[in-house]
Amino acid sequence: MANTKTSTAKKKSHFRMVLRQLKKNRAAMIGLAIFLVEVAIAVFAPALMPYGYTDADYTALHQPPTARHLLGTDDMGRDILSRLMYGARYSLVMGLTSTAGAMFLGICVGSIAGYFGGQVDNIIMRILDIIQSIPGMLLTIALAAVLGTGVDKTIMALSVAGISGYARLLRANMLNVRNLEYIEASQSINCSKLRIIVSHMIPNSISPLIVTATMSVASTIVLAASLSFIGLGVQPPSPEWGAMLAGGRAWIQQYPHIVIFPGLAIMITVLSLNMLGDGLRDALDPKLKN
Amino acid sequence: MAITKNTNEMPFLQIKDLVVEYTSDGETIHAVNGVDLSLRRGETLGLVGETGAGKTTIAKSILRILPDRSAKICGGEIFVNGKDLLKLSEPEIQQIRGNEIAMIFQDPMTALNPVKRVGDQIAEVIRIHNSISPAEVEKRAKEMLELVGIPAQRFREYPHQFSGGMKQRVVIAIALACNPDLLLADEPTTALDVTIQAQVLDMIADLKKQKNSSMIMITHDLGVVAEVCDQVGIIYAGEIVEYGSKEQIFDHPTHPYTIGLFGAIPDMNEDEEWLHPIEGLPPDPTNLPQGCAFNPRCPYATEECRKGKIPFAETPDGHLSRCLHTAEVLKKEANA
Amino acid sequence: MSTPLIETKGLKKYFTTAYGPLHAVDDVNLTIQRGTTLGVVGESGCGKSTLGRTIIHLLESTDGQILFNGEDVTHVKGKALHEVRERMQIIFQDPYSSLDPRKTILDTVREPLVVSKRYKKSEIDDATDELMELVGIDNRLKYSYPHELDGGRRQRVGIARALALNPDFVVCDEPVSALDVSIQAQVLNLLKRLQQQKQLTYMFVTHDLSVVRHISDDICVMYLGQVVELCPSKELFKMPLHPYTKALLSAIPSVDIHNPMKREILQGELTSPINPKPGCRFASRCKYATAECEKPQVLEEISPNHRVACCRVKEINNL
Repeated sequence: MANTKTSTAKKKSHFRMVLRQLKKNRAAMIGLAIFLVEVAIAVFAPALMPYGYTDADYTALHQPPTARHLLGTDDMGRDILSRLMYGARYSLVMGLTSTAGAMFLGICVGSIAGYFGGQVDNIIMRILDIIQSIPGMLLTIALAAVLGTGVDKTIMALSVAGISGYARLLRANMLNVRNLEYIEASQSINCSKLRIIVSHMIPNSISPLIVTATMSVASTIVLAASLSFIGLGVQPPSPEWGAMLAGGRAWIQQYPHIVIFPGLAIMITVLSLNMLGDGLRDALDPKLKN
Repeated sequence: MAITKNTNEMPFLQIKDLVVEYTSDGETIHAVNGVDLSLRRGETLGLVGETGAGKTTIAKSILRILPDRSAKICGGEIFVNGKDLLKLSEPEIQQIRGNEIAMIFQDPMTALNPVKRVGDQIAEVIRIHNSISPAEVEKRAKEMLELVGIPAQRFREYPHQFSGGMKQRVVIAIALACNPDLLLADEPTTALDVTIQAQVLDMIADLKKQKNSSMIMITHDLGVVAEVCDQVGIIYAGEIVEYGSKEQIFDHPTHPYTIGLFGAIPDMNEDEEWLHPIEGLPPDPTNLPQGCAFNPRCPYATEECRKGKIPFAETPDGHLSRCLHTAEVLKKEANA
Repeated sequence: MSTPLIETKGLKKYFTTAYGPLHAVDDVNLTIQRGTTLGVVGESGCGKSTLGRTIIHLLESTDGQILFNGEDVTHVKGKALHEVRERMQIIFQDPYSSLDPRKTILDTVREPLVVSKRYKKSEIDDATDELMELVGIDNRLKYSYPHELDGGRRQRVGIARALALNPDFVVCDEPVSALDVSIQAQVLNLLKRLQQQKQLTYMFVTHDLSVVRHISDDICVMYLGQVVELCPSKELFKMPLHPYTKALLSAIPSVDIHNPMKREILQGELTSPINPKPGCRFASRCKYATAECEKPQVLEEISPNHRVACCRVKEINNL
């Protein structure tokens, strides 16, 4: 309630305050912990892997989990655990950077449309309409085909394909914020357009984007996988999670473990990011302080 | 308690020692702290107080529409026509809501469903509480529209086609559609312009008289109280601090808070260089001051005022004030 | 008479709507002397807020002139516009939506100084401390966020922000209508004290007639974009001449229970401000309306300093 517990006039840095808020949120901390473990596994994968990710054990094809292969082997007798560990490098990097890239580009485009409105908004939104009317998969394939194969190219293709969702969301929020009096107030004190957008409008309309972004990491990983499946993304034998999922598709009836474990890996990543994202959104909102 | 003086006549509405708390984030907000009220049939009681004083909570407790998750009625009794509303089951109270007791909400812009025709919204209440044919329902709904001064041809229009004042009249038509015995008006004219407010207040007074309903008028505007109320209760921090007839309260305000309220309004007839605000701020409802909740802002406060709940004391003209220093206050006011 | 600080000549602001131009402000001529307060009253949608925002260049005028200190500033651009805006500030109605919820009080108050790029950091720090003291916000609240403060304190923050660049002219757009009476009095006293200290000129936009009577030197009554009556504050309450002003004054609920005002309940429909007919816009609700009222009305000086836009004003008031 009003005027309580604000007696400390000590300035705390915004970052430290957000961190402190985040620490209070148990779900977010669990999410963060899981995610950090995954990152650690990805970084130290070469040291942690029980086998090489391309080592094929022809004596043990399609093996369900055993003591020798904790998560079993795939159709070429490769250790699934090792492949998942090494594959975390590809999947996490691709999932995170292309989501971040899409979000960044989406914010740029969306804030311009949301702030200026009128004709500018109209043109930008119609272009986005056109982009969105092309099925996402097809668009990504087309982009990847133009840009070529490789992790960096795939990230670029995925980022560009993801722009419109973020741009739309941000624009919609900004249209609401734009009519509030504090935006008018910042005009009256001569704030530049850039300052109004960056310092007032974006911070007040970005929350839903953070949550959307954490959720879309998953679909991005799967989309990256589809690209590798048709030979456009990460090239085999690189053990990218999505590629493993796609590769195991043929054996889903007889040997379901080949797809279950990569699927679980993706799911855990998404869940942890979701928990973290929710917490982050709350921590960034000063209204939810205390 | 003290508020019901004529004990031989059971008042139409009687609230005894109502206590309501909200919980949010582990903190307890003491919204209503032991309110006693009584109201005779046909009378209008004005509840006056500032934001957060608990006025709306009292009205919502009567209708039992407080949010289940965060609010709790911790104690007290609310009798309407001899029934204790707090003891009724949900189906029983549903029979009463909108029928015997109706509420007029503050904001006409949000109180109507924007995608439903105005006429249907009035008809809905009538249909729920009466078993009559659809044609009869529509006829009654149209009558209600005309009653609040809107031509029946506009029955099939949507809320956005109405101006603010007309929307509020529709809200009032819905509230009055079932001839309620008790009308709870929560700042019904705050969102309206003065000329429209004048129309709406006139209309409410008129309809109330026609149907001999009782009304609780919740407002922060003493001018509105002066126009429409018979009895007045001044609320501060979830407690009625002064209670009496309109004449008693307006002619001889006795509680220091009431005096402060009157003093803070710019006078329409006199020129004064400076206004006389009440110093300080309303208390934090999660952490109310000990004793009289007004003591930190009160010029008369003494050690005694901080010691425990202050009982009502009768003032020389016979109304009630929760103050230990009534004599002193009156002496000073007489000199001023 | 000295040059007025603010003068508008035939000021118009139309908004484009799907149904035609909305005449929010239509041909307004006003003068405000330095150090005085002009109260602007009228009902919602009468264009009073738009008028204030157009004068301080938050909205672009459609036609007419705005003079500031005798200088035509109607069409200033770029740097000159920034300078004009610094001299003219605004205090908003809603202390809840006029502060950025994600900025601390300190950041909000210092922003105008930072944006102006004229001050060193140490100067800004000193100036903000001074401003907070001036408007009575406790220094320990400077790192709080708006939602942690009550309405009165938030409004003080809004006032501090408006005064940061030492303006000459401040539009107060219903600054107390969202506040409780006891807090309202505190803020009104603060505004009055600041006016005396800093020789401020106010345009006080409100629908609350008791407030406007208290704070204004002159009052201008608006109806659907036009000024219908303009005169010194005391005169307006003693001798309202325009039929609309009379109805407005009679509608205020009075706390004087023994002498209730004789109410004039207005009948009739509001004229639409979209593409209105040339005549008197109040005619559809006016009990004195005749055929003559269908002609455009002119704001005429009826007695010294008392201007009314009504062709029948003399008949109605037996002047």
